[in-house]
Amino acid sequence: MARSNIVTITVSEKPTAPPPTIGHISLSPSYQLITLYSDFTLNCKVTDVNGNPLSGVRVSLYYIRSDGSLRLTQVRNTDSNGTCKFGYVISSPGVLKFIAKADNVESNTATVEAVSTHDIYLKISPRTVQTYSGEEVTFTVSVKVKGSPAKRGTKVELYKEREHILLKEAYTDSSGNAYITVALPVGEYYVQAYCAGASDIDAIANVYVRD
Amino acid sequence: MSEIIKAIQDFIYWFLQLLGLIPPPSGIYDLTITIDKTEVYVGEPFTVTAKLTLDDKPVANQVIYVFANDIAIGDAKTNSEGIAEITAYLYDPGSYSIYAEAYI
Repeated sequence: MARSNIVTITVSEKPTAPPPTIGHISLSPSYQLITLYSDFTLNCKVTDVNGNPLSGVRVSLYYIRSDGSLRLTQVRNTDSNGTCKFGYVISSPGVLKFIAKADNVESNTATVEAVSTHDIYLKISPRTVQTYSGEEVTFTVSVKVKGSPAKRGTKVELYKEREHILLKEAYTDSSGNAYITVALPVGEYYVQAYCAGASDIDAIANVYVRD
Repeated sequence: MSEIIKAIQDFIYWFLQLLGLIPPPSGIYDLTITIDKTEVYVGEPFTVTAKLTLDDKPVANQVIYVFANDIAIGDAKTNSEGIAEITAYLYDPGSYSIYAEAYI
């Protein structure tokens, strides 16, 4: 038998790659009006310093108390697109502010205003539309919350009634008005505007669209 | 014809050697190893190169076994230059003594 010299080799654990650095966390929408007991969602997106989405990041959503302190409410992991969703139902009226955090990086503040359906007043104009197929019509929807114009960025939806088909959505400007331009389908029907799931008798318009 | 005779002679020689009637070939065997890395990560391959000579002449077609801390981790046959290359892996962190043996 022949035996060789001896050499020594050292085996070590492969070092794991350092976790990517979080560059930005965004929470959207930054403002939304909701009615009590209706679901609402806050969308979160996490990107690295180069703007690339980061998956598998543990994101914590905090409710900002009136004294500025934070209360952890939900924790989610981002998906392959670097996004995650936080869902909520609010039972008390008021303005709530939220912030998301991951690895000590903070998002923008998202504000959610919860009101009773009775506090939302919508008015659509024109109330009667006669037009032809293919022609666009612009509706102006005025939204008031507790008697004051809705905040800028409040979402308004226009539905074709009976079937409750969503035609289009738009957001209010600083005067609480949303302008919805839509090409209506042929027929004689109503369209109705909604805001945060609430509507009003004044938010209904008669539509006559001919071929 | 002469090849057949040579083969028969080799066989008889080997058989008598096996019975101990002929002493094994005298001379000095030398087995030397080198490794391409002295530090590896868990599961990372490394290559052990072994050279087997008899009286400074390469020994071909001989199986070389490589050990790490007395546990066999691979084997290969020497080529015409007496060289065998064994690719091996280690899966536990630590320091290992690597050596080779040839059972001649």
